Amino acid sequence: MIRISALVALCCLFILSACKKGQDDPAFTLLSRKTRMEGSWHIVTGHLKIEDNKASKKETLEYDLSPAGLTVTLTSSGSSTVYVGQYDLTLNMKKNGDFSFLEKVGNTQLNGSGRWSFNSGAGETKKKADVMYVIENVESGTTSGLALFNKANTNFEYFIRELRSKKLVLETSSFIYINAEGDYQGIEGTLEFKQ
Amino acid sequence: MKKIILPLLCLLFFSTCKKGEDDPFISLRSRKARLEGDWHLSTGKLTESVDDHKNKLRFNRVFSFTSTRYEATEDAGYYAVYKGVYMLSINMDKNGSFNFKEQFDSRELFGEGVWDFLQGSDKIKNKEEVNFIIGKLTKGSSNEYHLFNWGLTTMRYRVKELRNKTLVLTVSNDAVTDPSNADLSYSGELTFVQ
Repeated sequence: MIRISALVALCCLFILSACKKGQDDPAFTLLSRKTRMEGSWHIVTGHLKIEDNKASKKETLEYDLSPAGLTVTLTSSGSSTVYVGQYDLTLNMKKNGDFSFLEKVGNTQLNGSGRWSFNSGAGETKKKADVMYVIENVESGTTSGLALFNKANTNFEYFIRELRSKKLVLETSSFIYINAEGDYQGIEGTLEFKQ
Repeated sequence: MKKIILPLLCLLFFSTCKKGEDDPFISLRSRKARLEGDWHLSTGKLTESVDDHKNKLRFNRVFSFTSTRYEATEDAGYYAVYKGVYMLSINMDKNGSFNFKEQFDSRELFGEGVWDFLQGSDKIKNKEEVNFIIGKLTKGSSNEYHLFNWGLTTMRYRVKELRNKTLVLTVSNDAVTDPSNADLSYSGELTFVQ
């Protein structure tokens, strides 16, 4: 009898762990992934690193983000400069696939809307482990400017590291620009949101 | 009565399986399996639209593709026609990786990355859209003037038709949106064969 109970418990554990998509996801939840994604998400904290690795220029911009403001550390040719400014990011996601966002970086802002969807899981990436956004309308700002959330693109993706009903952690590691000579501009880091 | 209900149910079942508007009515191969392979652009039409809000300039450049050539017409105040070489091939495998080669006149863009279908939402069917992310280039630069990636590293296409030997991708996408400066967008349809 004990052996059967242990076997059932092990099976449940296996099934539940297989359901986890992000590494910090809850082990068990009754809410669907889409339902948990829905809502108004506000940035709590974030760290993004933009690395410019070009033959002509090598510099790193490290952004520490929170609603209280941002700190940018620019490291170029061995010396660092620190800038401070305003920052805020709000993301509204609907279950029907619509989303809108407002990001304020210093005195610029990007206010846009579009569609979001999960990935389908081709290859090694788990199904619904990534969220893909496409910006279809911009109220103010530019998609190729200083805005960080959209990674200078109208179509961008994030890996969902943690998705709970009140907490969302998005992770990124991708190229904004790349060439065959090994030059690139890459962005990596995490953004943590709460509802 | 049963003789009518059964075909009706089958019809309903298969019609809901169709993702792209020109997809085959029935296919025994999965969508992923059909997308796998070496695709070569055979025909297509792509419109590049520039809306320069600052200089009040608005024009379209319409590309027509046939096998290895393109012809483009531009309506920017004057009418111009350009002709040249255009070749695009995409090799996709089932495990989510792809590589591509684009030659646009003398510019070449060769690279590789990952692809994935997107899950459905109210406006889009499940696996109706495919997303490409470039992870490495062996020739060219992502921000040069190219038509497959529109100067970007992440691109999304809608799969209008997916058969064993035919793939039709459509695009309706803004590459840059800037109401205070200029918008750059692409729309059109590309037909590939294996």
